[in-house]
Amino acid sequence: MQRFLQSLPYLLFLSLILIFSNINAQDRLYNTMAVLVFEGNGIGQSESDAITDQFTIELKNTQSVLAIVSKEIVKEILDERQLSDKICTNESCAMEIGEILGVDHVVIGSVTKSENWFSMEVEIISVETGVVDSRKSFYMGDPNGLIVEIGLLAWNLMNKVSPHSLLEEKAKKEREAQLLAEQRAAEAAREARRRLRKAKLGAMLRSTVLPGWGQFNSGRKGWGWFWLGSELAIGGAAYMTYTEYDKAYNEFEEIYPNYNAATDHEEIAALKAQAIKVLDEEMKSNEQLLMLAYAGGAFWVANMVHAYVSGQILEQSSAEKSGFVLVYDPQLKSPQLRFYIALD
Amino acid sequence: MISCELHEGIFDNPLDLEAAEAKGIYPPALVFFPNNAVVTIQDTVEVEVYAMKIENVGMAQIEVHYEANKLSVESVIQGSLFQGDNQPFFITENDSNNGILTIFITYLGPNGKAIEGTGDIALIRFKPRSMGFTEFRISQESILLDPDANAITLNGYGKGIIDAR
Repeated sequence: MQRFLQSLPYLLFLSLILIFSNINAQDRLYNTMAVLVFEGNGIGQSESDAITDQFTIELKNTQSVLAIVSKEIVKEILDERQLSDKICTNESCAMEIGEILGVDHVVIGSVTKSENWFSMEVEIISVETGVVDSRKSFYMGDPNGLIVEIGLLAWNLMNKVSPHSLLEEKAKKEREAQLLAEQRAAEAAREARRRLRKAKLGAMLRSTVLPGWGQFNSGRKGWGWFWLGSELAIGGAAYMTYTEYDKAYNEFEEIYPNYNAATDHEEIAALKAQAIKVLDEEMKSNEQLLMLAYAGGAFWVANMVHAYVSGQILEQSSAEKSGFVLVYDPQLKSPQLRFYIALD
Repeated sequence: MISCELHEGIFDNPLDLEAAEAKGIYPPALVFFPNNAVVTIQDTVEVEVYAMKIENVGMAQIEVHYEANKLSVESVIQGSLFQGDNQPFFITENDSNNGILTIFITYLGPNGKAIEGTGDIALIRFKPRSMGFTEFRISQESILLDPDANAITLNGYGKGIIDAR
């Protein structure tokens, strides 16, 4: 107990330091400040201006700056110095422009858009020392919530608790973004299913025209060769069988009239035996042809079904994005064969 | 049904012994060769009367019955079976009203000889009178005799069909 009483003054002192430092951090008041147009990456100048304006408005709402030099005045002064087109991205530049504008602090920042994602970074730079006084950044997805995020960023930059309305708005936007993401995911899934169905139908159609073509197109070369080879083998066998059939048919055509015209019993018997033999060969060949036709048809249909079932979307690889193309050169006024290769 | 064109394989040569057997004709027999013809109304059809596997025949009297309203006999010529050193006696009689053609052939004289085997006795030229099928046949009244005038039993009498279009 005595030890506790001895250390009590220290504890009180430490507590006071913590409380005051927190108050100091939250309630810091800047005298003069200029917000320079943010550097835009992947967005236009007008969008960059609009984001800077929105940030400035929210910065005023924080009531942490006594005077913010308006964008118009900044532009006017920089125009006089022919610096209006200059985008500040570092401390030295911020110091230079801050001195010109006659402010204590300068806010510089950058906005980057990548597909549907935005990232933003802002920092307060002391004109006098060039020290970054505060730096905040955020990364979020949907542009729908960008305004709210810019507002929150302004409050965070000033180390102030964001207003409830903004936080509620953010939550709302997040819910909307979540909903939108789910909708997009569902749409993407539908689109993927549609593309897959299209790819399957395309594969089946190709394999209907030429066995194995659909499989080749789906990247299943082994299967492609199998179906094509099977049909070629069946076709080859059918051709050979047809040749045998044709030979037997023609032989019968020669023998039969002789049989009908013959008047000698022995000759008749011999011709009849020959005719029956070739007729038998003709029938056998025909049966084989029939079997091969059914087999060919069955394989063809199986190949079509397989093409549909195994059909998939094949992304072209870089190696496949090359080839030769015949183009017309308007300068030379002549057609040219050109080789192209994808660099992605 | 996918299939190539196939021959039917109908073996019906009138002189084919197997085919003749299937029709109930056994040697010795008299048949027509050919036994069917498809012709136009303007055509003449030549049909030979064949003796199938005969033995020791010296004389033949063959009656051919035909549909007189559908066919007419243009001419009858002697066949090669009775050819030899001795010229045979060959006569025909055509009853065009009743459609009966009688062919008589024999060797004359004391040195008359006999024939055997298979061969044509006569060649008949028919002329269609109207369109459609018409049948002609060798009558069972036909007679074969040996040189001693003994009757030879015939086991088959052929018939023929003409399709005039």
